Amino acid sequence: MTATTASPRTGWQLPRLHGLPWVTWRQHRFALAGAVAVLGVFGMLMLISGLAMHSDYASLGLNTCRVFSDPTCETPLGIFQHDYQNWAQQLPQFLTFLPGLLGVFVGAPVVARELESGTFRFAWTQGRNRVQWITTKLVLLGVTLTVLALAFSALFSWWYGPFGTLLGRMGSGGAYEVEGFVFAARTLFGFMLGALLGALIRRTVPAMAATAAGWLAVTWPSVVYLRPLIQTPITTPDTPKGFPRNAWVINSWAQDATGHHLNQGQLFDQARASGADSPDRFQAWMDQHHYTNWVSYQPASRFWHFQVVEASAYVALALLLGGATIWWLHRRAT
Amino acid sequence: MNVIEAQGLGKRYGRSWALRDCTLAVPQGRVVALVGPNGAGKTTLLHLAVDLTKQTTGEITVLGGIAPGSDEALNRIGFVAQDTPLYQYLSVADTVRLVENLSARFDAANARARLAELGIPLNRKVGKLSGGQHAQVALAVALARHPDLLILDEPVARLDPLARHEFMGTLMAATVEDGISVLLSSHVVSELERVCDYLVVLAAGRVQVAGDVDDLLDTHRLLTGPTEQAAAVAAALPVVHERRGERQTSLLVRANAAAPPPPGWQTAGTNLEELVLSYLRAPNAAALPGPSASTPARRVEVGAS
Amino acid sequence: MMVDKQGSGSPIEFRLDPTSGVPTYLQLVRQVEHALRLGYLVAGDQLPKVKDVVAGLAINPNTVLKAYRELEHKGLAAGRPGQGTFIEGTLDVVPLRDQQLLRRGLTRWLTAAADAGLDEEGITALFSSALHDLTRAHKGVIAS
Repeated sequence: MTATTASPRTGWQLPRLHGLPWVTWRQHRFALAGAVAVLGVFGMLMLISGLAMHSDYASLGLNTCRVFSDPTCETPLGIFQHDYQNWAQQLPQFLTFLPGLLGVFVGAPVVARELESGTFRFAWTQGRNRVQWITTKLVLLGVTLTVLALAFSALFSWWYGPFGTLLGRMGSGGAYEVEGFVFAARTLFGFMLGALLGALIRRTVPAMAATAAGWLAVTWPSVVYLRPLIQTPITTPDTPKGFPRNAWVINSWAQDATGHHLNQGQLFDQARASGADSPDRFQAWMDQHHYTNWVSYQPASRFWHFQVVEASAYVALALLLGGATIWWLHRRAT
Repeated sequence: MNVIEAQGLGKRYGRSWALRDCTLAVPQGRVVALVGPNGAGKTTLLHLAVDLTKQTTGEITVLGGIAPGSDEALNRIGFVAQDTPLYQYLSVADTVRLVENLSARFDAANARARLAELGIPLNRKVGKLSGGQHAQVALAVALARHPDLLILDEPVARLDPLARHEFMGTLMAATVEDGISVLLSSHVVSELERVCDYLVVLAAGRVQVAGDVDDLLDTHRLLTGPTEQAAAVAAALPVVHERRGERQTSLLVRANAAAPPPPGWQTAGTNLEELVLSYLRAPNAAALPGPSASTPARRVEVGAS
Repeated sequence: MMVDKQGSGSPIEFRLDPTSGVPTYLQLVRQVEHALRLGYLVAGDQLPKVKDVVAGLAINPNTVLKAYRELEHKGLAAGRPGQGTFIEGTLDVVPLRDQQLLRRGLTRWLTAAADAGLDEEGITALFSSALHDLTRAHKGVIAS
């Protein structure tokens, strides 16, 4: 490669890039800046509110509480929850969708924009073939997004800290979706999905829509249906000390002496039919029929195991999609 | 060496063939015109030569047997696609840097000097350039790569006459400097005669004419004479195209300049546009003399420039 | 007013008439001869560089080379390696008296042609045809 003679400075510059990495940076710097901005806005939010939250947690004396059902802890806990619990529950629900968003806006245009505008006829005839071109872009952009997402997850973990013990971290649609590795793995998956759909659909906006739909179509079932299946849940009677407070309850039902299951709905119907319509009479009726309440749950200690399994699946899918994109461009694109 | 060689090349899109049974050998050191009506397969042929698409049947090699799309081919061939695509959001300077970062050899100083000479500001966004300036930027970065073969797909179709003239002037000057081979396609023939010394006519996906322009013009004559004799004369000579009026008929025939016309008939030379149009109107005629031995393969300067 | 930057230091600039039917290289040859005749070019002058001609007229370099070769053939120019093409010889100048005689003869012929009923285009066609035959015959004599 010829040495670059002094050229006019155009904008701020990172450590010197050359070749395809420079091209990738130059073409996608606004998309990456957008990703940093979006993650940065929420990051700032978490930083500021997190500092307040952590300081309140300490000043309320909650960090010294060993058991939250202790009378001395109940009141400060109530205050703390009143101030922050809504945040802690709702923010991760919203953040869950960020990986899809990043995939749509960073991934879909990579190939689609070139094909749609016809600039691929310029990009792929200047000395580097399209396989080198797409591989470099997928690797550099994919790695960058993954690293950003991992950093974001780490920041969220810090922010969510106190609620890990209070609310648990395993539940669907909660902190689990933002902590650990799954958030980053879903970002990589979304990006690769966007790139492939962009290559197939060849138009940017339809590709973005398809990427959003595809990402949801994969993520939703995995959150709702597949996650509980990663490991068999623990089954135990529903007693006050029977299972940890911050576990993820999958299912709850009532069992009679023979082990026959009834769900809550059936239980109440039967009780009402027998005339047990007040809490005391209901409890007596339960004891009379030897019904006990049971739950199945996933303990918080399984968090990392679940994260690794689920994230690996997303990463494997992402790599598959990336390979498919490269193959498609090599053989068929035009 | 032939800069492009195709054997039975064909490309099908769905049911229709854009290019069919195309056999061609384009010699080096020439400015080659690839002409034909829209939809004749010109863009397809050029895209096959630069590996922007893959053929359905047949073979194509470039620069004396190299595969299109190989690293060597990519670095030795320059390509300016139809409508000279560039990234609209990049500045001219960034476009130069982009090509520099993609090319194995790139003379950035050469590109900037040429752009400065043309008065094209380096910090303007490509999207804000005029049509002529846009085309000149595409040409400048292509030439700065010092390719052995430069392929251009209808480069001046959308340009106004002045921009067109300046573009071709820049291109011709570059061929003097670098000795590059040029292949340019066009569906407007009239302006090519001054510029090209080798002609390929593509019609309905097939090669109809391929040869040196001088050769082709020397071996075709326009005969004019009385219509009543037309049939007899046409039967005796290889006629490309016939224009029959009530009294007078003109025949474009394949014949040497030295050959005397039939008695009562006038003979005259023809020009490139007439030649091409006649062949396009006569799909069954073909003239494939190929490169002549007498025309030098490489331009030899009479004294250096 | 835009002054064309193509002025590269050569005494003459070429122009093209694409509608004249005369081959390009021949137009260039004739422009050089014309310039010589009128005194714009003298021995030692450098002809425009191929690159500049080609950039200004947007024509194939081979055409210019062909023209310069023709001029060499006619003994009017010569190439100096590494430098360019320079004017060497001169045109045979026809003495002024002979030119005047020829002019008078021509006027007489033109009058006769007009009297016979030929219009301007008829006269031009007849003249071109006769000149063409004469040139061909002349070349034929030289070749043999």
